[in-house]
Amino acid sequence: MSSEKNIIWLASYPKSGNTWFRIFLSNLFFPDKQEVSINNLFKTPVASSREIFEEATGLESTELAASEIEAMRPDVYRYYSRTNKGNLYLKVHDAYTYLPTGQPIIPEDCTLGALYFIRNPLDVAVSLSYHLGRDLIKISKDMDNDELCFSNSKLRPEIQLIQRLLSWSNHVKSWTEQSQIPVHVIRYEDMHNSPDETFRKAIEFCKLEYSDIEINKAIEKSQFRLIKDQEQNDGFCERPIHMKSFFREGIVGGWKNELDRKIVDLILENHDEIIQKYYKDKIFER
Amino acid sequence: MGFGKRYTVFGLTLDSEIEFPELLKTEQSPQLQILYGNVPESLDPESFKGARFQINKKEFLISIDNVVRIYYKDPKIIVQPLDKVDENSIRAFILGPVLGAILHYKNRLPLHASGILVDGKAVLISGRSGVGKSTLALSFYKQEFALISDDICSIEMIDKNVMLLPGFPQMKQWPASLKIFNENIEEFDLVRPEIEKRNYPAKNFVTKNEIEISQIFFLKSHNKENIEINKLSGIDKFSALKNNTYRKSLIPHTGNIESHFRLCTKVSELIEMYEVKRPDTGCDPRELVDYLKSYFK
Repeated sequence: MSSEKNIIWLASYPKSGNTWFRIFLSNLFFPDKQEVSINNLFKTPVASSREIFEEATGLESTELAASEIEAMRPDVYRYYSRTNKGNLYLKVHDAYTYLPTGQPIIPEDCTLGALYFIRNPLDVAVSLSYHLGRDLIKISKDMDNDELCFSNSKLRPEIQLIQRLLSWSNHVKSWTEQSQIPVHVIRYEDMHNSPDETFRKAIEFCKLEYSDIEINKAIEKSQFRLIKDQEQNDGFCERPIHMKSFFREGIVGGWKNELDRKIVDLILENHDEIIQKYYKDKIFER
Repeated sequence: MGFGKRYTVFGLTLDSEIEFPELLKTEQSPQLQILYGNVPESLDPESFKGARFQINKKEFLISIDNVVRIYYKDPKIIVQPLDKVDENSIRAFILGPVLGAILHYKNRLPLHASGILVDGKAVLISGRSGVGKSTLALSFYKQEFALISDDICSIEMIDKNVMLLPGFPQMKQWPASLKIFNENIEEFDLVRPEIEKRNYPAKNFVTKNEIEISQIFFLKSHNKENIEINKLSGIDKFSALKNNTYRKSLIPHTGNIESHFRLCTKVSELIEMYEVKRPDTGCDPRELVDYLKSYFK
């Protein structure tokens, strides 16, 4: 069994381009298909999956306290690292957080690196509002809440394990300002505006060897309109039940048509430091 | 001789130093012994290591941080409490992960499922953790269907029939499920501290030692608002059994691969199976019960 560093984390705050990249990866790894089915993507299990936790630990996750689960998560990933040949891609929405012992949940000793997807928080807010079916004021407050967790009900079992997101800004900082694992930051907007260079750099970071032609082919097959057509014809298994479609608009700057000035100002103020760091080339004015 | 506390569960008889108020008592000779003792921190280096368990063809070791370490080598289950563990937790881990592993060693098919009695036969509801097996079982129970087993179903071929060996008269229920049936949550013990799941006694429990299985329903969730039921056929039946085997990753390490394969094949040939999809956001389990009842033989 392998004991090398072979996990690549596909990390992001929700609605920041993670799914798009997974579709691109699937088309890159399966070039013979005309387009990979969005309902049968290359396996990138989510790090907070109950199934992978239970297979690795032999324990019933619904009968463990949140603190017990959290303490076991690093060893869960080490288990998959050593029982898998080659690279293992794990999607993760958790912030890069630490156990009470000081150990990060994301174990350095089996991690090759992380691709961290970042998106303009104004567009994230809009997309998240549709995805969760919650109003924009609540979403913008949630994005500034360091206690924000997904899947944290105590009264019924959630599909996934609890995930600590922190605020949007601290989510970004947690991944990009730690020094344990290498991180390559990818802006959603660059995936749109300069896909060839953006996807190629991501592939190089993963130490994969693919030609520009192969990468460009995969980018073409992952175009938003093709994905949206697929969803219209075949559905998408990851679409939340209340959404008409998961792949909604796929544009940059859609926030201008959706957010009122008050919410824009609130988000820009709450997340000014990170916005200045990653979006100083953008102007967020209507 | 022994500890004098004898119980029956999944067709196994236990002689136990630990008291199990939820299990049925028996006078039969024990096959397994549960006792307190020192448990090794690890098995031999050739054993397969999970994140919290180790296993080889004869031994199983599972460890829950600061709670308990449990070791099995037939016929003994040795329990070493760590720190200040509560008894509910010890019992929960023995009756779940440890017995589940032992069923593999005993060449049974442990299915991640709950079972209810319908017209003298067993109907099983199988699926992943949290999908609603126990809630659906409770919903049937409230309509006077007796419980046969909750969360783990021990399946065995007996005289060419597919049989379910009973668990014990208790279900584990979440507050949201108990609320649907106007139960007072505070009346029921917590399965474990810090977890809101409750131990719900099921007095209406089967009295036979083995019950012939009639049907298996595999419960899933989907992102549609309706309930869908499809009859499974061919290889899909085998796959459903395999995928819903309790702790299936243990199978290769118990030396049970062939036996598991044969049992899944036989059960697939003989038992009617359905895939049931309910909305991701949940549905009233009473509505789901009505759907399933329309498919009962």
